[in-house]
Amino acid sequence: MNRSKKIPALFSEQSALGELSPERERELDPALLAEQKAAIESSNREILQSHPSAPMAAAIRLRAEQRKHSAVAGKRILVWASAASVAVLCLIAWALWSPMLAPVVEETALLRTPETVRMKGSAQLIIHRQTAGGAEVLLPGAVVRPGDRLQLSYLARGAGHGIILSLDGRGQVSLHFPKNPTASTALAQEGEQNLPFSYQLDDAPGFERFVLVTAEKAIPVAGVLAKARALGADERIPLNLPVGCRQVDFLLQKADAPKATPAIKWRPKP
Amino acid sequence: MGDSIDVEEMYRRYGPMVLRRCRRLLGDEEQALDAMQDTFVRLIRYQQRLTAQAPSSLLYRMATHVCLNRIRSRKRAPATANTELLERIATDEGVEERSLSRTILDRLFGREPVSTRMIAVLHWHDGLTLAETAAEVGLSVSGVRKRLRKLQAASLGEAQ
Repeated sequence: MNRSKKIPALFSEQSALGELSPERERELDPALLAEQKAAIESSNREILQSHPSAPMAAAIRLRAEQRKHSAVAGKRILVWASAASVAVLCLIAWALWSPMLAPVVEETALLRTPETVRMKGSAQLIIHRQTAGGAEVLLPGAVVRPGDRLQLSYLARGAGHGIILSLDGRGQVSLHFPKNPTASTALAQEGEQNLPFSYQLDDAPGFERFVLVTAEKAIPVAGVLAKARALGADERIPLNLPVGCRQVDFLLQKADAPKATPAIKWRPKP
Repeated sequence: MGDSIDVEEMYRRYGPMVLRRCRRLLGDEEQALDAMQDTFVRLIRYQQRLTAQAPSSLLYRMATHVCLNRIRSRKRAPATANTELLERIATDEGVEERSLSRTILDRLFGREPVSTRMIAVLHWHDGLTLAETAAEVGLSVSGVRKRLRKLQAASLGEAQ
């Protein structure tokens, strides 16, 4: 044995996976390695039991999709910003070097009001969790617990209409926006819009999946709810939406309920 | 590897290892779970780097990278700063180079490029020898030693 007795975690992990080279494995203390591998196997069982592979893989795939989408949106904004910068520079040069053109500048698209030149992106669902000191923004795939109080918000970003619903690990579907299936689905356009209620999570197992559906025209809420209910307790299947609708998913992992926690279903904050 | 990895199978095989790595570096269960997912998102993004043999090494480095970036972000946001990890790193048993002070680690996590931070964590925190660290990051032993000496000298110089 050539190395000191302590075995780096990387090597014991690789040995447990059968991915450590035989040469390196021969340098390790066999008794200590066996002990560490037994601990790893026990830990593996505990982790996969607490965080099962199917919902975790779904959360990872969803997060990857959303990151990809954000990156594309970011590139679009960059292209717009670059184009706008070039155009502004051209306008400045134009205005400086051509005394005849100053009045025309007021008519260019770049100087129109935001209402006439609006950069459209994707609508976004934002979820905050109440903490002792305030609130924290949750990322897709974050772990939530029964009793956590969540506040939902959205950014319309040009989408005219929308509905927000959630599905849980028991296949229960809840409508969050609009307040009832017959209310208007029109989205407010000014910045981040908080829904009027916060919600406390119940003890449904596995996941809480929030879905923002957007469209240019009014959305048939009852029809979308029926399609959501038909999905059952599967967090991966996309909704079969009417033509012209877009779907934004936000999946949260659900940790096991503490035994003392009472079961509370989605309940509006008084 | 094909164009699309089987995320569920990869998680089942490597997820626990990645989560343990993140737990150890971040010291917080929820942050560790979050970092673990980010590690697999990186894996999906950079899946072309996967080779047929031993993905554990790549995933371990990716997890380390994700965690170090989180630690650096925490340092940039004083309201959420948590120095517990750095204190634990500085006092970890079996770590070589005992003279490495917390001041150095502060600088290490805050300013150094990822590759140097990775080397420092593997050697100083994880206890890999210089040769093992060099093999893990694909550098020569002298290259690793040079980076560590330079880092240590620069940090000590600033501390004086």
